[in-house]
Amino acid sequence: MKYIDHSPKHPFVNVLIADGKYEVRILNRVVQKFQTDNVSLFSPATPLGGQKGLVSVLNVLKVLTDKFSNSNFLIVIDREHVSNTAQIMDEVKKFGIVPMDEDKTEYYFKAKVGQKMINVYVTIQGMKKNIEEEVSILIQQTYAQEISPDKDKIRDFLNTKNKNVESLIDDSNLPKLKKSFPCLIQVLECISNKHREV
Amino acid sequence: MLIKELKIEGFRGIKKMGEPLKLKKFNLILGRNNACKSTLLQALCLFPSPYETTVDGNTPRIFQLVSQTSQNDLTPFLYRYAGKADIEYDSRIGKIKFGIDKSIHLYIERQLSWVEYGSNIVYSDEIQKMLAKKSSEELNSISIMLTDFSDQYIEKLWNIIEKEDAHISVPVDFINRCIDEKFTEITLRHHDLYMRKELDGKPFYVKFSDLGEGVKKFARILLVLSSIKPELVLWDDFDSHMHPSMMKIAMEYLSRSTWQTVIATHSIDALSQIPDLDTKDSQIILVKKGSQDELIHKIFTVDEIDTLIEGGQDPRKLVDELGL
Repeated sequence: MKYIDHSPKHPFVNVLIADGKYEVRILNRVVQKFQTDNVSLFSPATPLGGQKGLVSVLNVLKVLTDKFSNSNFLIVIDREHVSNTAQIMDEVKKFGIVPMDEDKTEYYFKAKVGQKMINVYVTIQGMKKNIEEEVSILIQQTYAQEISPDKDKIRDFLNTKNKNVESLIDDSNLPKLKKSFPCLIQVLECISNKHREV
Repeated sequence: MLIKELKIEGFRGIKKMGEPLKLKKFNLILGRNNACKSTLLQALCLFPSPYETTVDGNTPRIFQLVSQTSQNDLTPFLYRYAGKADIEYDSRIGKIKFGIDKSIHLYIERQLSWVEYGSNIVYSDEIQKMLAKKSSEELNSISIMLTDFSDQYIEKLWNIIEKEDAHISVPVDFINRCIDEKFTEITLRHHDLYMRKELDGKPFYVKFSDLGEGVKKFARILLVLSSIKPELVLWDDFDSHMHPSMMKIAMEYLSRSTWQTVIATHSIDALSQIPDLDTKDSQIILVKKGSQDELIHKIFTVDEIDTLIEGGQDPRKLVDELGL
């Protein structure tokens, strides 16, 4: 699976990131662990940054659904913004998006926007707050050291090992990543499987 | 608003258009390199007639669009250098159309059918009346493709520039807001343009040719626009040489003026300034060339672009999703 920021080819999934570039860096490396070419993740991120949170992501989801034919979306969001997929299914209604109960899982739901059906995949990062908690777990698994889930502390620690978050992920296998990023890996498996069925 | 809709077939790199391009008062075109943004501006620039000259030239504007060896060679305007090109405008005077093959055919729609004008002189006279222009010079200045205007051309306009006080308002109201110096006036001395500034209470004159590229270009454009006041302003590669602060001031100026504006850009800075402008009459047009050389476009409102940028999405890269 590839993570791309331009020239998508069908089938692809539009990635909507509610937080920042850190998630992009992690996602970019994690998807490379999936040895499949049947789908790519498309994230045309702006260099300007942007707002954070669920409302911002759902606003973008509505515009993209209205304007483009692609019908697959992945929402990447920290747990500090939202606790479960049901909460997102409830929230999308305010944007004229009608979620369907059929086939819904912890990581996926179908929705209707006008006449168009869309597939929404969801990954909620962190146990309590954010994706840094999951990076801390990966460090703990790799180096048996407890590092506070703080971006600066993680970076400082990885510097001492001559690593960064990308190389930390590169050096980890899928089962290990599944323990640290359980939600992300499961949703990527879900995406990969759905497109394999097609 | 001068042009409401544009239809192109077989012109330059465009085989055909998916659907006609509807224009608003302020339009910003985005697309990858070679996506025919410039071709759209060139097609607009030919209104109301490819035979009219540009404001600063003496040759028909169609021949100023491409560098070529022969003035009579129209093949560079034809898709795959053969066949026929059609450009149709829905304008404030109704529908007009040009057909280009080995010669240029001029049409005006009368009671839902096209009347062909065999003579450019008759056509030009008719168009002049329809647009309520008093002279061919007025007709020539109806639309303008912004470029690096020469000091010689600005000298020709100097009386109007002074009458409009543009020699003072351009540096004071616009240029000074996007640079670190404070200029007080633009002057014309011995056929050369100078910017006047004061140092310790004494005047000092900086020759235009010694100014930075962006300042020089923007100041000349502002002087020209303030004197000829066209109905349609076309600006290709809007972002070249411009700092975001200059882009912001240029976009404010263009959008608040009475004319219709069409800009082509690659700049995320230009895009991010759009939400600061009057949104009602503005739009962003994403263009892409399809696999069969058809021009695909999608129109976004200012609010939609604002939502995408605020949500961290880059509309320039979303262009890639068009036509998929």
